[in-house]
Amino acid sequence: MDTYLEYNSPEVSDLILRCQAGDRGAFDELVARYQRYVFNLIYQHLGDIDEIEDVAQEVFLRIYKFIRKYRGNASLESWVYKIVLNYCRTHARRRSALSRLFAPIYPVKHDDERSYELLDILPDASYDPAKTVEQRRIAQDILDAVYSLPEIYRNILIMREVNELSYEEIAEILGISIGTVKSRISRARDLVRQKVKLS
Amino acid sequence: MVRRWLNEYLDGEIGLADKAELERLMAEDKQLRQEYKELRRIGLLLGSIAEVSVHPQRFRQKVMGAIEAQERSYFTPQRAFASAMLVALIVVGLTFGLFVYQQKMLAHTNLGSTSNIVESTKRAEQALALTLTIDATPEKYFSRLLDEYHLGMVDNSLVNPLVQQTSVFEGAVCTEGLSLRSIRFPKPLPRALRVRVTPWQALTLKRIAEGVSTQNPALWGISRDGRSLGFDEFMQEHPGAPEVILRLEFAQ
Repeated sequence: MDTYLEYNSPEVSDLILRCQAGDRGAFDELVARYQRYVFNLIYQHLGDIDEIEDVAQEVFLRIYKFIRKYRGNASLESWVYKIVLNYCRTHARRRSALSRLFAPIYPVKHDDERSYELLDILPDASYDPAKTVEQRRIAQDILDAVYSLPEIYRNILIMREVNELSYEEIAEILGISIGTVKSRISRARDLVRQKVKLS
Repeated sequence: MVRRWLNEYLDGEIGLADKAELERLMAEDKQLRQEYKELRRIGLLLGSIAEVSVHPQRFRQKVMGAIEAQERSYFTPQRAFASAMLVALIVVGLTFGLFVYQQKMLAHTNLGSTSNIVESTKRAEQALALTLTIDATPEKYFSRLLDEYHLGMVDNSLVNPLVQQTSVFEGAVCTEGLSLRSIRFPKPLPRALRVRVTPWQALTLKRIAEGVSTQNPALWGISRDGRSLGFDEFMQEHPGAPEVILRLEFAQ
């Protein structure tokens, strides 16, 4: 418990311990607590709205399976982030391999079947319609540029700019040095800037 | 250096001295200032990526349902049956393997003991082996032997071991009375034979050989240190030996 307290709140430490003891109710609480976090990470890294729920379910099944292996060397959020990144990588690879063989067919889910919805956080168009439309276009260009980056640059840029993780947290999650984190962020920013003309 | 400062500045991880130096440079360099603005804007707009809102109950229920289904699927009757069959198969396999291993070990042990016996017998035989070299054909020699038997010069105790231990008399027929030429053997006899006899019988066999050989027959053995010994010397080395292995060698 003391080990877990180093990086987690007492409440989360207690939740982890209960989950590790096989308490199903505690895991239900953990899902409730982290589902929004996991859905957002998947959406940010995968960039695909249709597959979020299936991927999130797989991620939570993995968390359930491996929660006993969590040793408290980082926060639970970082540990979950690592699982999400690993699964997104596996999923993307599998999807890419399958798409070479078959035409992609995604099951169409009706809105009432979904457990989630997208919330647009750009300013309301009524505030300044012309400016907002332009901002949306640029934001979309930036997103397109980010998703066209190689995975090592894309992931690190999302971790830094979207989730505002520190260099240390990024280094811990990706298992690389802080120097490498800095150089990759710098390179990723340059690549996006070259692709999107902002001036 | 400036690029590193710029990135650390954007990330809020720059030191105070470097920050002051970078701000001074940006105040002087319009292009650097522009680059900073663009990178900052990229960061801000990227941060405005849409967020996902999750239904408070629906997804939780799905996940918990999936966990239950997964755990249930571990204990289906089919899985239990398959596991039991697997265990049974492993047990049978192990038992069979153990049986085969034991058999092999047993065979090896037997082989070992048999070979030991053979080896020791061989050694004993070498120790008590005599050779009788006869300068005649085996047919002539054994005809002579039978002749002497019929004449009562040798008795059953000599003929019996030859009959029992060799096949020289199998199918042999006596057609014309009791002469040497009357014995006919169905097939050519071997040029060398081995028979277990007493030392006295060995001497008798030598005596019979003297009657048919063109040269004096030799009865000899090998001493413990590898020397060739005559019969008397040989028997001095093995006093009281009840039997010897006699090798009959026919020179013709």
